[in-house]
Amino acid sequence: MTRGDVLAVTLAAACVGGLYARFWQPAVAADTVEVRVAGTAVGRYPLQVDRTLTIEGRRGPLLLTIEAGRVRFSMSPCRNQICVHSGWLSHSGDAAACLPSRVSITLSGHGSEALDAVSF
Amino acid sequence: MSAVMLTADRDDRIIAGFAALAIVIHVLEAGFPSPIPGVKPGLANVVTLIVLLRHGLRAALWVALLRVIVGSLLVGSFMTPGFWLSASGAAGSLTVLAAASVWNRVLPSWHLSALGLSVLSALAHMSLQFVTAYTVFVPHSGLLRLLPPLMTAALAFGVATGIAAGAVLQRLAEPDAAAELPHSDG
Repeated sequence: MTRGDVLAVTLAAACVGGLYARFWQPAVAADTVEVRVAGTAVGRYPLQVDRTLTIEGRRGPLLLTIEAGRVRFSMSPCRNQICVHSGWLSHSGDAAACLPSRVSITLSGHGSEALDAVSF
Repeated sequence: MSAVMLTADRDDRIIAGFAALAIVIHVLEAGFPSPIPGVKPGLANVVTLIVLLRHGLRAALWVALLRVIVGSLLVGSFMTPGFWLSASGAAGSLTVLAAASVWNRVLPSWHLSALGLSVLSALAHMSLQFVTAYTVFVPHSGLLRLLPPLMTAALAFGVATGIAAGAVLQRLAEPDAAAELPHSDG
């Protein structure tokens, strides 16, 4: 192992460590939810205000419930109900979708999209 | 009508032999199950490194290029997303290896051996592959969370293949092993 190797491996390890610091930060509480239908945003709603929203999807209406800083699909006309089973979402970067209806929701907080995660 | 005669010189034979070896490793590796998509030991890179350090950059470029194209034809992934990922990764790692060759010439006191070259090329391979995956195939920011573990795997496998390449180079440097070479790469 030469001096150059030590330098290369140290730099490489530092870069990898930096990536963890950059992309693996603990989840941040979300403050807004963005609703998209067929890829286009149809609205942003604050999570501080409790309410039930009706979203018009491709297969009929879906219900979104916002409560205590969290949001969930509470009713959907689709067969598999994957969106409903995604349950309550509260972290920035969380997302859920009803693909048959082409409706998706994405949570964000402090504008930190880089902390995104996928929830199935 | 005059026939064009193409004769293979020593370099051509070396490139063909090592490319064949790299292709075999590439195909064998493609059959191995992988715990995470995109994580492979990259053992075929051992061959690229050996060629680079023994026969220079030009031969190494050829071996890598032939490996990616012929390997993908044999595996059946030619022109598929997997092929483009593999090709972009190879382009990244070769760019870094070319830069490292210049580095070794300019700064001989900070000379990089197989280990350092392997680690740098593994990281470059993974980075470019990731950039391609992110910009072309899955432009979703959720993918970024995969980057740290993928790069960790690249670092670990880079060290492992670097040690392997170093060991092989040492064996090849021994006179009796060198005498066997024409058989083993023909």
